[in-house]
Amino acid sequence: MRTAEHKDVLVRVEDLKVHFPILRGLLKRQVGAVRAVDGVSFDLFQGETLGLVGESGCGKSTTGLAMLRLLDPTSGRIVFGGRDVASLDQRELRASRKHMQMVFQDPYSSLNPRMTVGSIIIEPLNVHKIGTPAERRGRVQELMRLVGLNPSFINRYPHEFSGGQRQRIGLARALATNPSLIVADEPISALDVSIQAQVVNLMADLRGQLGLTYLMVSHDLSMVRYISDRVAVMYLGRIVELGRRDPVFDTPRHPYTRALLSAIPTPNPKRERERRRIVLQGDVPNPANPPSGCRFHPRCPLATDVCREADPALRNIGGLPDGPPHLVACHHAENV
Amino acid sequence: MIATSSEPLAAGAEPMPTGESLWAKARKRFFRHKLAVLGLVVLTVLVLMAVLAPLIERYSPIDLDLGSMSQAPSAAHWLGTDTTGRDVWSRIVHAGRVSLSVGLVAVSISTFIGVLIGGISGYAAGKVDMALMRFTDIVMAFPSLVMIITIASVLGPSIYNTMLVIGILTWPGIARLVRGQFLSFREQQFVLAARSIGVTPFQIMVRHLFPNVVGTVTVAATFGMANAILQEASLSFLGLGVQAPTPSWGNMLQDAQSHAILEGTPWLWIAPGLMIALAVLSINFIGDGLRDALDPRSVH
Ligand SMILES: Nc1ncnc2c1ncn2[C@@H]1O[C@H](COP(=O)(O)OP(=O)(O)OP(=O)(O)O)[C@@H](O)[C@H]1O
Ligand code: SF4
Ligand SMILES: [Mg+2]
Repeated sequence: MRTAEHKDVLVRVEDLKVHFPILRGLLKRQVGAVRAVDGVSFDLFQGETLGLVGESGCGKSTTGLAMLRLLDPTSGRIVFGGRDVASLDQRELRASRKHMQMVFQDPYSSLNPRMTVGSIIIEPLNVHKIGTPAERRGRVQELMRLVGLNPSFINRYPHEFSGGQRQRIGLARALATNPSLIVADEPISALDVSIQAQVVNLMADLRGQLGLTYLMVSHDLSMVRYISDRVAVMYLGRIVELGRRDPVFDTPRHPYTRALLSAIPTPNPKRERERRRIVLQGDVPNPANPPSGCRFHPRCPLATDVCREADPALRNIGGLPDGPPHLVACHHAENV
Repeated sequence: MIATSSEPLAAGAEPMPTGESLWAKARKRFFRHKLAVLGLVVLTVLVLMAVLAPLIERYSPIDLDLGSMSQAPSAAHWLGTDTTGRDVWSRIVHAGRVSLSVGLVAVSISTFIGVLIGGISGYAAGKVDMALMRFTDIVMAFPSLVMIITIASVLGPSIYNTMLVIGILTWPGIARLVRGQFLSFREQQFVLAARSIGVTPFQIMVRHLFPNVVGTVTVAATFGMANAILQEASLSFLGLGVQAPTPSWGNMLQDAQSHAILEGTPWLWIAPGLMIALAVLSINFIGDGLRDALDPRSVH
């Protein structure tokens, strides 16, 4: 484990649901809902990195956006600093944004092409009226150095930089107001493979230096394994497994996690020889109409009758008595 | 784009940004466009003529001189005189002030309304967008001649009402353009980033979206100005625009409508016709140049 004690909860997400209405016809009648996030609960501890993984469309980004209330949750609570972010009014919400920030996937579309690097990074300071104008300018230079950009490029435009450098600019903007929480949605997936490691390392360094807490949304399992303290696995709008990194990667307890992990090669040659890729049958079901009982049952090799009927709750299996639990939502987790 | 294959962590060793601002690049592209430069030169001359009109008018553009009616061009009257003896050169020069300012003011009105309505529509999306766009469609579909005659007869024809009428009739094009651009830009992550920082919706429109459409709007407004000058000419030609005795290129053409003038004293219509054509063409060339220079696709 990479951090000391997981004691203080920074954010508590309780039964978060985000449903997108499906509208049909001329009158835009609602005929259903995409249950993108459908009852997700977890704690984010001060100073940790929680990796959020899962197949495309399982609701990772939606969870991250709803946590920062860049999307309005359908129901549920997001308790951050003693207050429920989901019920803040617009003014309170804007004020609270200085404590929680986002790093985006696309280094091209996430920076306004008409703004200079300096005006991009200074904007959060202006919005939240932090410091005098002179102090803000000084802070911008400090931030540029912090993320490894030469401050002399302050008046340059984003199009003059490479993808990795642009991602650093986005990082500097996110860090400007000294937030405690950073939600990073696939922060490296749009970058050249050769520079992905640099950006991940920079983010890891910054976390240590500044005491940040990360929610790292990604489907890059090796990156998540590298940077996370704990990992949450999502399937069809739910968390199916959540625990410390190594137990989840080494001894996954949910059949879906096992299938997901079987797809990545391991560096250990002996293990690699033993590794058998578990190929799931069938497609991911439609999140507008999830299967009964356990949502994974149509594709699960271990499914039984109870799986088709009863929705398994997250329960603690094999977590250390004094450590954070290893939560699994499976009726047959003991047999996996 | 700068090569990304090897990107050193050290700050000093980054690939060097070129240091050329977007505007510097746009200026370069504009001046590469020969017709646009020609247009700029011609328009500059026309504007200078209009600005310096009081200095280069050789007679009053308004006072009649019944002693020298319908004279052919000569040393005394470079472009001849009209049926009431007024010097055509002086009237052309003076009319330039009127026609160019009608064009400028009208296009400012239509750009202002268009950007406002299109911007709100595109940023708000949803129901607000629906309502505003239906309204825009109605204004667009309204038979313009009927509207012009109505407004002109209610408000009375005058220079200011001409500006207003043209402005009110031509904003829907700009509104649609701005709306389309806003709709596509609001999906970009930098708008989400601005929201995540806590920027208010109004500031997002003004500081983030608007600067991204300035180029497109400038191009549209340039073409709009050429169009407004033409509109002024046709309104005045119909007697619904700028009223005598104030000369405009359009009402000078109207004065030259009779058969006798068309055949007997062609300088009365050739001169204003040529001025309208020169102004409209040069502005359109400038618009073409600006479109190439400010095309957002050429940013990267
Ligand atoms: N604005 C929206 N309107 C309707 N449906 C949406 C919207 N945003 C997301 N969805 C749907 O919600 C589900 C979850 O989407 P989400 O983007 O959270 O997935 P993800 O796990 O981030 O996937 P990816 O790895 O592809 O980014 C998907 O089925 C998606 O189609
Ligand atoms: S509950 Fe049943 S269907 Fe669901 S993952 Fe466990 S074994 Fe498979
Ligand atoms: Mg996503």
